[in-house]
Amino acid sequence: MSASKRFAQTISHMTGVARFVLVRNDGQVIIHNLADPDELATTITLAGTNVQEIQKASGFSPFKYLLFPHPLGEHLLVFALGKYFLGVRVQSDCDNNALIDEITAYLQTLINQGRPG
Amino acid sequence: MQRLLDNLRTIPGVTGACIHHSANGVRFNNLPEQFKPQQLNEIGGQLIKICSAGRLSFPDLGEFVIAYAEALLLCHPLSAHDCLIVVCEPTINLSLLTLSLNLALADLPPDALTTSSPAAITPPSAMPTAPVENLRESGPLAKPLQGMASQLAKILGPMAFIVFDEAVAAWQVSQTPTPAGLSKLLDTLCREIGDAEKAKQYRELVRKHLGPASG
Repeated sequence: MSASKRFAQTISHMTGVARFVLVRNDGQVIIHNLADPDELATTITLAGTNVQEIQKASGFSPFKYLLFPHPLGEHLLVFALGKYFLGVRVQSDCDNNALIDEITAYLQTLINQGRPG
Repeated sequence: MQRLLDNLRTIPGVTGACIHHSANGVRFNNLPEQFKPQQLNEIGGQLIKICSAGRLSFPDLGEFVIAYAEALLLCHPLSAHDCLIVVCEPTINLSLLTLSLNLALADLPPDALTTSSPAAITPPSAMPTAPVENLRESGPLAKPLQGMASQLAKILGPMAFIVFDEAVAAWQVSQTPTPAGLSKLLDTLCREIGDAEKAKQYRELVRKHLGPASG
């Protein structure tokens, strides 16, 4: 199984993950499980890039996550992974904090292994 | 408004807050001095872009949160131009913060953003225009504009929605926004694309999406 397929399988099997898309910081979609990833990929690329600009302006360390909460529907979480951004649509009844911790830990293992960033 | 910010700072874990206006920069502020005005203006500008990006997927987006190791930023749009930025400790109880914030905002007088602010001087406009977000979210133009924006994203990629909002803003200043006037907006967007082949492709996509009457 390829690294990207393993990545997709791991993310999509996490409790609370409804959909996900991994994009490069130039907007190129790498892997996803959406019917049409373009809109979400655009949101994630633009948002992730600007979050990193705030990082530079403020002197903060790299961002941990960006959360677009929705009072009724799915939330959106964005994470950075090297030159990629991971966007995850989260089921509305999910424990956000637990999922954030789980995804962060998984991404950290990938960063430690030196892939895919 | 300043009182709202001061009240927010009494919530455990809140470092301070400010109100940022897209054109006038920071208008109210009780953040520590380490947050320089120029830095806050820069951060505010980026937060507006993040908000616009979020609205591509969530048209009714309320607030959003960015977590850094050192701080957590909560951005709550107050109007088309103003957003409230709350800087908190990373360990803050977000539910408590958002609940307190929503209660405080519900009590805010309607003119709170226009009073007691030396930087809030906006020249009266002969033709007041609706914010681009409003046009795109409701009314007879919402569906065609959303369609045109999403098709433009296929041509221009991530920059499409910034280009689109700027073009719509210029379009609604130059004429009353009506469905019949969308062809002029389409012309403007094709010029912005700056590539004849891609512009042609965009026209085709819009025509397929909205029908032949779109131009």
